[in-house]
Amino acid sequence: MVWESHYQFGRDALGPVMEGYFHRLHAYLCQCERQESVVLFALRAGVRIYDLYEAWLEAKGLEIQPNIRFIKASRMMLIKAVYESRRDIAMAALEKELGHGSLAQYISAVLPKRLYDEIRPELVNEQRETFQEFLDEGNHISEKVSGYLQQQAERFRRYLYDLVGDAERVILVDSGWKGTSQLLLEAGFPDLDWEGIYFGCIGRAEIDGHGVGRMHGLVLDSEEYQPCNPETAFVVHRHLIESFFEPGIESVEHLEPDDAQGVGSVRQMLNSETRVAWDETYDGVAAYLVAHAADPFAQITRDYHIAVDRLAQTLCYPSPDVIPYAAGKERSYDMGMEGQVGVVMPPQNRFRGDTAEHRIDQAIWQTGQAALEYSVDEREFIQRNVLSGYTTIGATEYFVASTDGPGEQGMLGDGCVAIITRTKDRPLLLKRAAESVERQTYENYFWVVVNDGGNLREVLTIARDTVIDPSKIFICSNEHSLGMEAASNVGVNAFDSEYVVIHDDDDSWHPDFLQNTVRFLNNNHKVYDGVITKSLYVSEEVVDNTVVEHGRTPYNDWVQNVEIAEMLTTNFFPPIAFVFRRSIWERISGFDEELPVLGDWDFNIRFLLESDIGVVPKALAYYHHRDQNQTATTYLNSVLGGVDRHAAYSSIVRNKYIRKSVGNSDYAGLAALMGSGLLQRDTRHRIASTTHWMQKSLSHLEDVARQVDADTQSKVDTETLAKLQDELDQRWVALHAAIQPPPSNQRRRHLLRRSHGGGATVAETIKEMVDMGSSGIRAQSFETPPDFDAHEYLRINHDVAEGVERGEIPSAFYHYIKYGRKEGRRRPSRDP
Amino acid sequence: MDEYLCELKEADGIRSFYEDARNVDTIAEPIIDTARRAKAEILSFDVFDTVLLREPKSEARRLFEMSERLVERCTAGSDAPPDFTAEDAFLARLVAAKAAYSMAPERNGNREGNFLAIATTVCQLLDRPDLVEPYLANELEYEAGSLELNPLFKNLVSELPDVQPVFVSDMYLESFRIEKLLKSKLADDSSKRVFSSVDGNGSKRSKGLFGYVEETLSVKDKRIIHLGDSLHSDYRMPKRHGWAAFYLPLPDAEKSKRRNCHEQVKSELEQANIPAAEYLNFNF
Repeated sequence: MVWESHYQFGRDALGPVMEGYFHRLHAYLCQCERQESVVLFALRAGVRIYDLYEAWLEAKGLEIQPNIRFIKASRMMLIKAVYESRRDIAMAALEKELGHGSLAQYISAVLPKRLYDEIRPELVNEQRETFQEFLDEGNHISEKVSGYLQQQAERFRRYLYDLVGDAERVILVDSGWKGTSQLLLEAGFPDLDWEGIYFGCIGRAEIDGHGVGRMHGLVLDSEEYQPCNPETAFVVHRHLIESFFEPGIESVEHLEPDDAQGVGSVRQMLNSETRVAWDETYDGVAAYLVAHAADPFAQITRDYHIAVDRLAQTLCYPSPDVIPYAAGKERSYDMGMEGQVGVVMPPQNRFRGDTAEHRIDQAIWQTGQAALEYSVDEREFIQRNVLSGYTTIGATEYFVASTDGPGEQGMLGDGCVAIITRTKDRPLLLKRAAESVERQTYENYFWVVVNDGGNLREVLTIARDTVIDPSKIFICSNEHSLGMEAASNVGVNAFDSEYVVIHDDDDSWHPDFLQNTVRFLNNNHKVYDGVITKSLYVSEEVVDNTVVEHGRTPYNDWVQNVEIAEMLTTNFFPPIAFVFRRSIWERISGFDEELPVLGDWDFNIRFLLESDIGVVPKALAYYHHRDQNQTATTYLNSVLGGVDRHAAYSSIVRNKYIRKSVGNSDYAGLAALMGSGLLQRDTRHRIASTTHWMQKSLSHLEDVARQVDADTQSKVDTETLAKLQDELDQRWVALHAAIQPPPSNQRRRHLLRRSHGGGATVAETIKEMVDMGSSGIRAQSFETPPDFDAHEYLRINHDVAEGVERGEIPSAFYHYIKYGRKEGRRRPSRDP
Repeated sequence: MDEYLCELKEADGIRSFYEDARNVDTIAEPIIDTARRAKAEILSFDVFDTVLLREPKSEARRLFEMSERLVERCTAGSDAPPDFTAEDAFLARLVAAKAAYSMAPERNGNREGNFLAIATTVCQLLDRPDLVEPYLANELEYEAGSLELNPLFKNLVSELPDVQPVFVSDMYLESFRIEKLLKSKLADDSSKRVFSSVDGNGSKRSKGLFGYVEETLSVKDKRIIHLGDSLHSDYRMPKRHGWAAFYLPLPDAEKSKRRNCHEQVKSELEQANIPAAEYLNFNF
């Protein structure tokens, strides 16, 4: 759809969306009327939200609620506001905004211009490098700055409590996103109960380990773009909404004594605002709201969804002709900086080495920039790629092969799991097993307890006392013990289900064990019929009828895949970690009841001859061993209690398959595999011992290096040092890329997948990430490392300094890592 | 598995199951037995789908039918139909409930939207703030007309005359409104001890309400037996609190009928170009 004016865009494209938003806002604010609440519309966006809300209510014949007020609360103002009460959070928030900016940048950001100009000449001699150090110094300049901040904090405190009055609950209304302002207010004024109502929430703010409280996103609440939920398209271009709600009035970053009197009327503020052509969009929306306020509710709902669908298409796959309307206004710098930046930029190179990919990466509206950069044939493909950076894999986290097409879910069973617990006179452990089952977050299971010749009354008592759904507990009782494998078969036979897992009475699970394993099997049902998770070995003993745990360590943590050859050498995962499809159990005739021990190993070998077993790389199964000071009691493990029998039956099982291989083609390859498997096992032991030796050697080398004195260091080969420095820089960038939010997620996942077994070494992966440049890593990833002297780099490279000044190059370090090091420019260092 | 649970889960429907006196006896027997052995002083009942049985309809369908009833009610009282349709009222009800639950203040670890707030908001969204009282009456009359008393309740009360029945519900209806419904269905105007989560004393799902009941009635946990249809709120949580509990789930066939009914409403909404999933999510 193409519009002919900003007004028309506002009326037709945004109007119905805003109509839906104001209905929801009104519904939410209705809940605040009868409670001890005050509603604060946060300046600046709050002015326009209020203005439209009031007009909309008027058109409906309703009046604005009496407990609604304005609050002067720019982010900078709130940082100052909490300076007295939560200096740690104020400093962390400031650092989050200004990053590795210079001391002068920090001071100019917090002070009003007049004050800054006063102290500016004296700052030349300032030796301190961080703002915190400067404030702590206590000289007359820092005291001026600190005094100013204290004064602002005190003014704000008085101002806030005047606004809030007796109310205990404060509801903030703002355009939204992560709730940083709300977090600052919560931290600074914890005696008030804060809550936020926003147009949208995109994630949740966190500062110095503190998270934000309760936030309500009325139109969207998502960190990522979800194609099935069109409202989330605002994640791709939230600036449209920021632009829309941002009036042309100054941001309040400083409180004068008389500011506490209030802000005057909304109309006064808006009549004196500075407007640009795009602000006609606002007028279009206002006209729509007034004209449609009294429409039937179902009609409003329908129009809202139609408009959201269309707008989502515009934001995700724009063509060049919609850019002037949907881009919004130029974005103002905040945090004490003046100036504006375009949402998209002309599709022209700004400096040597600039590319379309680079510009897309830097653009505020990336799909919009792609529309300007590429022809109609390529545009959608590029935009789709850009959008993939705004989504995550989510439910298909463990998807391993593209064999399960969509729409085939109907072929799956009901996902029900039979959990088989074999037990005999170990009530203490059985009770723990019951707790392990009842904690599962996945609830589609049946718990089948096989009492193998033990005291049935104890089993029934435990079953009655547990909070597992009583309709999902089955008790099978053998008068005499049949042995472990026969008991397993009794349990599996007792109840029909799609999946089976043996949960021995002495083992336990993480609450998400079944959730993860069933999801894996459902997602990969054409590839795998079984799945294991990683396991933890739990060392424990039973003392005076109490289990005492001694420690948890990863159990066979090297397992990445389950291979037959490997399984033939030894059983490398415990039964508690293994969920399998019942159909395979049926096909291989269950567990071999002839084997008194190692029946699980034998079962795994036969299972692998039929199908494959996947791996969920999380330690969700706990393999418990009473391996400490345990005398022969019923609480011994079969592994430890029957250690001699294990050794004997290990050979018996191997021999069984070698024997079977004679004259049976199904088993013909096994003998060879067993041979190579044994060899593999031997090799692993050798590698393990070599790795251990290497770790020890490295540790020794580090000790030696620490002892090298300054004289010796100067003799170290400078080339080697440069290489080391380069590698450190690459790792620095990779680390920051990894913690950056989307859109680099998809690319990052690709790289992480590669580094996790896709054949690349960590060093190769890092190099690839750095070399990808703008297409792979966002500019924010190039945060300046503390030992890089950006000031010096710009001083010796005038061309770069000019590029940074013009906003074409994000930072000195960015230039160095992308171009400078390849061009042979010197890397100036400083003490971190 | 207990025999009574098997029969209950496999029944065709909840109402038809309890209509059969033999089924009531099967269910009542272990409860009476436990109450006598434990010398129980209190029998705590969940209300909806335990004491008062619903029809095999989804919550969405019930809300839609309430909305239709509201339009009829407004039409009957005037010369012209109201300026909103059942569809308008239904969608406004869904939006209002979400707002009420989201913005309810936290009290004793629980947030519960209350009926008055929901009704007021619906009427605001329909531009009819004058309709709040008729709106409240309409929903309660609908509930009273569609609920059926569970014969199990009368059986237990008569078999355990020395055990006091109390009613514990996680609900947006305030306790006085639930009490009114109970009186009408029990045909007994004597006052009832009703505890509703919306009253601000905790909820069953967060366990806090059980402690409040104990404290109010001055009865120790071992002397209270709770019955209800929610595995989490009526079985797990009271047991974790130390009460004895009986899980009386809806039959699988009943659940299936209600699911189908929900799907039907969803499909009707989709046909009317309303993305149903967004509005029919009742887990605020």
